[in-house]
Amino acid sequence: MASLIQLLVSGLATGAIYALIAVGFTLLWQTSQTINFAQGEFVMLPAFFVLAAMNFGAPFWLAALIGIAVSVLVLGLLFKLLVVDPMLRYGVLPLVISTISLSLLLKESAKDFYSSQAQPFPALVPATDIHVLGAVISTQSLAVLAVAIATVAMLHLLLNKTRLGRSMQATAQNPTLARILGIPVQRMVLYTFLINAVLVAIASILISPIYLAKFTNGETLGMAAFLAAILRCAAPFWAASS
Amino acid sequence: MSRLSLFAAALAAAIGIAGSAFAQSTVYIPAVLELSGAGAVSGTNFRDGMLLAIDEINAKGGVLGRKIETPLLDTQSDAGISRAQLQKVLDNNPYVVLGPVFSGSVLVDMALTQQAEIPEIVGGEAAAITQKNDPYVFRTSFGQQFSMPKIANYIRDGVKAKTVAVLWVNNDFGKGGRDTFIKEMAARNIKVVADISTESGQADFSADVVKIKGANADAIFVYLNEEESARFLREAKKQGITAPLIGETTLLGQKVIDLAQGAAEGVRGHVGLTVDAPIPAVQQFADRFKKRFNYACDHNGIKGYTAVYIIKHVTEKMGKFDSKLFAQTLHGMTITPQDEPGVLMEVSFDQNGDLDRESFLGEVVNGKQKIVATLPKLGK
Repeated sequence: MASLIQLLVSGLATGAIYALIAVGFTLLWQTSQTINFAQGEFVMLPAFFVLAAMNFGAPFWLAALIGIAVSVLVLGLLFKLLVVDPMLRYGVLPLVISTISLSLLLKESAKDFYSSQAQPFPALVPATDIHVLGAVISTQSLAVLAVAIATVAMLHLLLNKTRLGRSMQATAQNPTLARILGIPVQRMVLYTFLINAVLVAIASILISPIYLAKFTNGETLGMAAFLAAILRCAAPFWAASS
Repeated sequence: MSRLSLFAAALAAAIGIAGSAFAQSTVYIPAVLELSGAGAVSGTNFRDGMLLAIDEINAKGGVLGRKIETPLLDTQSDAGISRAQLQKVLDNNPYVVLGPVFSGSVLVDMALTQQAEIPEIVGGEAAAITQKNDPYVFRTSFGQQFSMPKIANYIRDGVKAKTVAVLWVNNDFGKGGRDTFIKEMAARNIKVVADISTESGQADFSADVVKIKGANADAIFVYLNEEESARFLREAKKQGITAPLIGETTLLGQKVIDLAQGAAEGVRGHVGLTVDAPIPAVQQFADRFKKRFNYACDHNGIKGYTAVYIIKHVTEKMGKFDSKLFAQTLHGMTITPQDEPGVLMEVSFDQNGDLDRESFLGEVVNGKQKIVATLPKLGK
């Protein structure tokens, strides 16, 4: 029984992180027909932004915020403007190939500009234990689960309870009709890219203490996210986030 | 012949002569190492130790008047790529080849160097490396058939464990170590209550830690590569494992201690090579390494450093550059720090390419490896 509880908590914590990545992946697909094969590297990279900020003397909490902000700029805005917009007009396949190239570029850049070796990454909370029914549950696992659930909950509220979120849903369902109704479709699409960037940055901060920050992390994370997204592929993103 | 043709011919001849003169002033000793991938920690430490030695030797005029030329080739921790890189360097007639470190790559490369009759000084520890009657392969650290008996004795006499759980990485290094370890445990009537394999590059150890906890062993022997060791230790700490964690050199290495961020505290084990050895020459090397590369090296750095000095010593003993004679000369040789300070500790090579040297028992205390005992050479 104790082993089951331990495995359950640990597994849910790791699975929640994969779910965050998958939600972002699904968001992009549903809203902009972007299959992002660099999603794994998108999760790998923010950890290095955070580490770089810490190397410049920032405390962890500030470095994490800087990491999220840089991710929004680079993996959200710049990704959309420099990769997606120019390639999407030629169809889905050229865009897919572009994201594969982007994943190689990001991976090799992390290796060349930072390090080929794994780097330690600070955990959200200190490693302490709680004993429940004979099981030893780590507060780190609980913290990861809490942050992941809170993130998905906030995303759900945004998409279902706000005007902005309903506009994004309308854009995903029928962009032409949404445009006719006066919804700024391009801006809604941009917002999904920015939301994905925030999701991958949070996932990176949660997963890197377990995986260690390494340039090859994207391969495993991307595969896990892709599988999770495929399992939910029939559901629209607002359902995927719930 | 036109003036242009004459000029071109003269230029080509000059370049040829200059190239030949340059080749004569250098000795080609390439390094095929894990500079990226799962083995990056091992390979980069080995590389940096090697580069330190090369710079020291070249600054004093090189080996027999020739500077060492060492291009670096990345195996990406993949045996297939390692083989391809080695083939590239063999096409250029090396004197000796350095690396790889990963046993899987060594086992694949050995066939090529044996065929080419080029000595290969490797960092691999798998027992199988020196069991293939290859006269051209030489180790820079203990083979598992020498280190595992020492660990087994420590588990029996030091830890006094009656049961043990073993966690190992599923590659040539891990499999060889696990097989040798299980044999040594059986010979000492210590029961193996859990035998858990993990994958190279594995990130999530939660299920493995749960299995180990459930086994309730008196001690846990951990035989993984560097990054996986750190991840395992962090998970073990998260899940509150209290049984002693025992390892072999890697588990107590400084890189693992740094990556594990406190989770390595209390880990114990046998250490074949360490910068924390109570030997002045080793400590001076560690200081020079840290000053040059800005990090504390692990045992792979010592492997790379001593490998180059072994080449220097043997070559100076022979008085010439002869790859085949190098291999014959090194078999059965003992090199002392008095003969060659760069070897740091007395080392003896047997006919299989295995080495014998002092080793240590260590423990991680306050984020540092602390040596608690020195063990003599097996041959003494």
